[in-house]
Amino acid sequence: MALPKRIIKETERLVTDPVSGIIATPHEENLRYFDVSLEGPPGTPYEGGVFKLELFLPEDYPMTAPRLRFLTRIYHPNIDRLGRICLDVLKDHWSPAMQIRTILLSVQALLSSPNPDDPLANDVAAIWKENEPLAVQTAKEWTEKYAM
Amino acid sequence: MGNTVTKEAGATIQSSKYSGMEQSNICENDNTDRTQWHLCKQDLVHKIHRSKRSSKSHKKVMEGYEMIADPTETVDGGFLFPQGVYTGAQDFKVSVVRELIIRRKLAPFYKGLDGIDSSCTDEQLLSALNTNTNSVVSDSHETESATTVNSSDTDASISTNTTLQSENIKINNEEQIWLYRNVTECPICFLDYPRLNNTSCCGYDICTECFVQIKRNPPHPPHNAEQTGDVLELLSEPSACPFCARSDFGVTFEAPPFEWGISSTVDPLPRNQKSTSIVKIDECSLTSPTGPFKVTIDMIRPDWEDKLISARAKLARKSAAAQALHRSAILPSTNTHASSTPETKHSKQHKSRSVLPDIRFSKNKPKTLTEADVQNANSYSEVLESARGMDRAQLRALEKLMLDEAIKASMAQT
Repeated sequence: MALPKRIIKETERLVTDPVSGIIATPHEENLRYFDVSLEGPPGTPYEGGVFKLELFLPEDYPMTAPRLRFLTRIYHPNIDRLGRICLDVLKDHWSPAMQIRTILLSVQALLSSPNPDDPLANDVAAIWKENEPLAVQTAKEWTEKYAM
Repeated sequence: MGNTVTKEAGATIQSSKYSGMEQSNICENDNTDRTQWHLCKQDLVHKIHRSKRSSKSHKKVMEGYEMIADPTETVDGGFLFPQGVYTGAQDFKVSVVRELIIRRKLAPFYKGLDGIDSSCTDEQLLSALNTNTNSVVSDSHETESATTVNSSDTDASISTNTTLQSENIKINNEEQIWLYRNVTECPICFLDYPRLNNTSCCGYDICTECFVQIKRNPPHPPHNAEQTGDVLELLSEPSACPFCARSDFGVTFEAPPFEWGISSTVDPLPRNQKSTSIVKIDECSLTSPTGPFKVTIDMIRPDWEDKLISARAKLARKSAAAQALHRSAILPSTNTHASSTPETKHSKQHKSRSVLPDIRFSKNKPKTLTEADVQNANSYSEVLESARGMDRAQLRALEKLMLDEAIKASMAQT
């Protein structure tokens, strides 16, 4: 099945006009499937780490959100041990005006501002709320261990 | 190249007019469409079109929703049906969208150009238009012959319509070049169009192809359902603007200063389809001179309310079945567990909590449950009554479903 023009153009524009700290490369055999590398934002416990994600554009993209998952382990209240991400714009707040680049920027923003009140990883969120310095320390350790 | 093909098309259609008289079982319009589609060997719309046709015999399409893909019907150089940017099933109300386009309240479905820069020659532009697209109406031969066939239709009003069209829709290459010399990119599909709609909230451009894809999210429980316990309530919210996320989403369209193709004053409904939709739109004052006319998603998908009602009914049925099981699952506990205290029978809170172990118990020993229950609970015998005649696998599936529902319901009550 032919690839929609939008996906072709988005891919081209990701190459010609890359976002700093984000690399998304499509698989040769499946141009809807992307390998993503995301740099941990500075000033966060994820700084210095490079996180691998997988991104898939479903059949009815852009009318439905891309599917996105962390492959690198990360200590974050909104990302569970399977790498699934709790982010509204990946679910019911997705809009077809968003793009691969904007969704990846949203994920980067989520790393900068964890939201333990709407957790996906309950254990991590509990520690984040009870003892934030400890949580941040653990997140740093995980970043060093898994993302460097 | 295009010319020879379309001339052949004319010939084929002409001959089908004479020889096809006996083919009374084939609708005349089908005949026209099919011949044209056969000639336009473009993939996407062709496929959609054929799948629509083939599925038609199996599945009844609701009135007003059936796709009408007639490339001879044009409005200001665009069409009345999607041009294949989106290949999934189309579920908007076709009759409403047709009317909105003809009334110039929504941009027609133009062919989306892909990355043609402004320095290209007219020939390059035309060939890009013709290869990009799924059907071509630039040749008057095809138009006229199609009209000839159409005029053999028994419905007199249609013949008048199409005669009018044939005078109007001679969209020649010059017009196409003129139109497509000044294009704007739709920020959703990234294709270039001569004219776009604008969102009424924030003024962003959006092509009709993308606009008709937008729909309400499926009905869902309220966001604070877990706190309020309203898990049996379902809500459906209007679609939000894709650009600014404001909830009151709709688009306006500034009609061009010219009018090509079907006149905006003509009766937009094809064939003998006199649907009620026209009245509905008129109620919203289609012809109102006050301000631009806002087209909303609910207008082109008026079935959202039916969908919500049926989703609610489905949930209510499920919960009723779960309640029946819920009640019956508590009762055997008083019989089979002699240790149960009287409070567990009467205190609502305890009741709900006690249900989980009881269910487990009943699952392990269904016989005990049945005996105890047929004696004690009318509701359960009702359930049994309805379960009679099912085979073992069906019963097991039903039991599983009801257990799931009962657990949900009991969680909601605590």
